[in-house]
Amino acid sequence: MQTRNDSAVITVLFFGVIAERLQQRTIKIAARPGLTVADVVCEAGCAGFHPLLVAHNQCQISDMNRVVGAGDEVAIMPPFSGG
Amino acid sequence: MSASVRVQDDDFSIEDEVLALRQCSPRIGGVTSFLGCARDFSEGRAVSSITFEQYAGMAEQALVALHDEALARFDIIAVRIIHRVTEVHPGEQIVLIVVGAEHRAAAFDGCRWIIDTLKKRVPIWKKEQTSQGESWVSPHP
Repeated sequence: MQTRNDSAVITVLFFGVIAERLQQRTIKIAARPGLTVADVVCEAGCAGFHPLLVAHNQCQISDMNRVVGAGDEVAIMPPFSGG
Repeated sequence: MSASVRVQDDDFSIEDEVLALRQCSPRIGGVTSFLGCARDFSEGRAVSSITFEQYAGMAEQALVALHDEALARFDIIAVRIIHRVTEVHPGEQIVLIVVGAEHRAAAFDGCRWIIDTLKKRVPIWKKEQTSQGESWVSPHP
């Protein structure tokens, strides 16, 4: 479920080829108890992207079971290609 | 003096960055650098330009963490890292790493580690405009 009420939402950011394929750069997902990064990836429609990288509040993480809460930011990213 | 770690649109001067690094300490006896530039080809296709996307905030944080970790890992004295995130054309500068140490071995090792690790840890992406359309760049080893 998506909502625009910023006080109780998680901001999800998309980058690179993922943003291009989804045709959007950000969405809001309603926060709820026990919501994990894996849940966010699924709700954002990104479960089919491989490989993908995830950051929680601007820190890259590998634990997809990490719980996220209201006001958090989750970035769903393709592998980096800077340099 | 400009910050030693920067993500920016503007071009940079290698000479200015090396000078700034050397002014950090009179103990610096060796300076190494890596300069990444835009090529005019990629996987057999002509490339007319490259655009960059960054995760603003996290990209600079990741570069600062890289800078700090390099200083802790290697016997080096000073590091400067600059990455551009604008549109660049073949021959133009993209990324610069400058490392100063008492001796050359540590400077070379630190510089190599920084560029290799930057490619894995810093949320920046390249998109090439080629003769066959646009395409996102896959990570290079």
